[in-house]
Amino acid sequence: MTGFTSYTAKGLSMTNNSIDDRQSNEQGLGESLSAMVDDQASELELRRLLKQSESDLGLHQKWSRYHMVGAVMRGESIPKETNLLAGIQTALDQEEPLSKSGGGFWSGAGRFAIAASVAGAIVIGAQQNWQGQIGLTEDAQIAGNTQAPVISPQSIVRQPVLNAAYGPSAATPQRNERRAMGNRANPVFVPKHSVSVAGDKRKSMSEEELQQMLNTLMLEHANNAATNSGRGVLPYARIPKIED
Amino acid sequence: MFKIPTALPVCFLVSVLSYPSYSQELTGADAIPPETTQPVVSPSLVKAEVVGKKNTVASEIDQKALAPVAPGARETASHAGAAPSAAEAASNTPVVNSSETKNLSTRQLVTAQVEDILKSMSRAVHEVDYQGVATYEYASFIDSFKVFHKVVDGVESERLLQLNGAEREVVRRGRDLSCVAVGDQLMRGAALRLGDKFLTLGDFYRYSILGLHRIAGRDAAVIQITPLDEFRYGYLIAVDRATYLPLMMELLGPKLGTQNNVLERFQFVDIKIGEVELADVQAQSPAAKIFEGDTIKSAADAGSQAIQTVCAPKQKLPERWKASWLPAGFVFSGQKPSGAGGDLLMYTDGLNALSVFVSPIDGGVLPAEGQTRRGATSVFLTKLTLGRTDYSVTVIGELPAIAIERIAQSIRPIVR
Repeated sequence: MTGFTSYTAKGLSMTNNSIDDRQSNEQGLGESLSAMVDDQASELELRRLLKQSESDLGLHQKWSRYHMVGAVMRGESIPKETNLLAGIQTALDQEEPLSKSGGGFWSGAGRFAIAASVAGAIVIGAQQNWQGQIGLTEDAQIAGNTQAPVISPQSIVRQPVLNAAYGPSAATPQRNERRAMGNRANPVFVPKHSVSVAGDKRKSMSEEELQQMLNTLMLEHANNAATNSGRGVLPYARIPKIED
Repeated sequence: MFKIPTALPVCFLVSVLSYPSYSQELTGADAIPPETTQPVVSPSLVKAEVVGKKNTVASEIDQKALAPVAPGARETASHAGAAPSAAEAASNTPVVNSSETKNLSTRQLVTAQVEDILKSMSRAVHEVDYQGVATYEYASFIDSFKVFHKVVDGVESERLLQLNGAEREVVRRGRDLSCVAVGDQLMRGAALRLGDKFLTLGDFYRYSILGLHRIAGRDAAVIQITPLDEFRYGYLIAVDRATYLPLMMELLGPKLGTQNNVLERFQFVDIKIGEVELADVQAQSPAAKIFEGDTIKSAADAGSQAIQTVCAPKQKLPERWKASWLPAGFVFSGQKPSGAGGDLLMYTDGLNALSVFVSPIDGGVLPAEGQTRRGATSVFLTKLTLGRTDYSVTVIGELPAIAIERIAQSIRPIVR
């Protein structure tokens, strides 16, 4: 019995570990760790955590367990290599300093770009088994410079980098896909062209119009899937939102 | 050990749909074969095939193992022990020189068994009355639903009610059981003709049987369906041993190391067979969406209209647009006007449905271009310019982004 059964068994045993851990006296750090695994830790918390874990083997191991629990809960698989801390520290060190991107709106975006790039590092660490090495820092730099239109504050939080250069050969589609899953009600749309063609006077579809259109099409796709993929009414569960 | 039959029926091609070979890999519009060889789908043929092939192979190993119990004895059969079968062990054994032939036979045996399970499953989802609570998970999210399914006078009605977050209700009704969709035909073993080859679903996926599992308090056989190319996802399906209903279904991306990469998961938490009232499959909220064949309407508009019995779209040929590249095994399954304007072309390989929307863009607005994704569903939008008109092409499906993009870029007008 491979695959399925062992997957379930691991998920259960690790959930138990995490409950034990929460009762330990390092609760503050434990919470940061948990938040980090959920992509919610601030940059300061991250640095504190990483520094502490250098000298604290227990915390180091706890991080590995938390991450695995997080991965299991998100339905991702468990990375074989759980020592991801070194990789994350490197990613932080290579980020552009925040002050470079100036004040105003983009500084906020820059900050989120760091968090997102760290979150990306976790995911990529898990993927290296089959995908090979992927660069960690380019997104943050693009985020500082890009003129890409701002879709909405919400989408900036989850999707700081609008991928202007997407293509089949781009090295990062996996990561973009993962981030695109972040926003629940409305999937984040990654536009191919951020600026309209010179001389074209037509206006782009607004983000709202686009989301509405996609939701309508997904409703029709669910209907198609219910008919043509042999599983009855369940595909309708995939529809993000029913438009009137 | 069970005995391995010496003469296995290698393929079962009683029903052959003569599809054109455009689902083979093609590179450009020039390579598209003529449209004149489009399928003539005959449900009765498929039915005959299903009956003819029933359990020819699986019956040999039923006693030991995992196949859901034979049809006819479904509800009353006692369950076999939980020991994994020899078939499962063998299916994971790499082919070794000396026993090459033997392993090949075992693979065929497993394949035949899974084919039987899929066939029965594709019937059960339409024919069995059930109600239950199911969850849908993707990324870190989980939604829960009540699901009802009932057949009245040979016509299906089903209702899905979301239990968390915003109220959401979907009713789907009016499908006659005698109307077998292309997707179901493929899942029941219909073959495609590609040149001089006849191919079935099992030629595009590798089947394994993982063992027994317990879902919603019921015994289920777990099968894994692994794609042979990078243009589609794999499946892990737990099939109820008594009814053949899928109790759990995971879509699997490329493995991460040795671990499964679950993109989304449907799972019943609780399910009751039978005991479904008529009211259970009728819309309760005026805001409910009702799907009836080609039409989508709200419950308020539908009122007390009689249910219209509908079958698959009559369209057997794509009319104005076609995908000049599709992953092998995908076939055209119908076309209809999209509610968002333009045309909806539908394709399926039996397990995955694919929707292609093509609509003209009115003068003032730029067509959107880009990609997005949610759970296992990928979306790619691109622009197609024909003369002075820009068309928006949107492809949606539970396929990897790489396949969805490639299909979107391959949409061409049909030149008559």
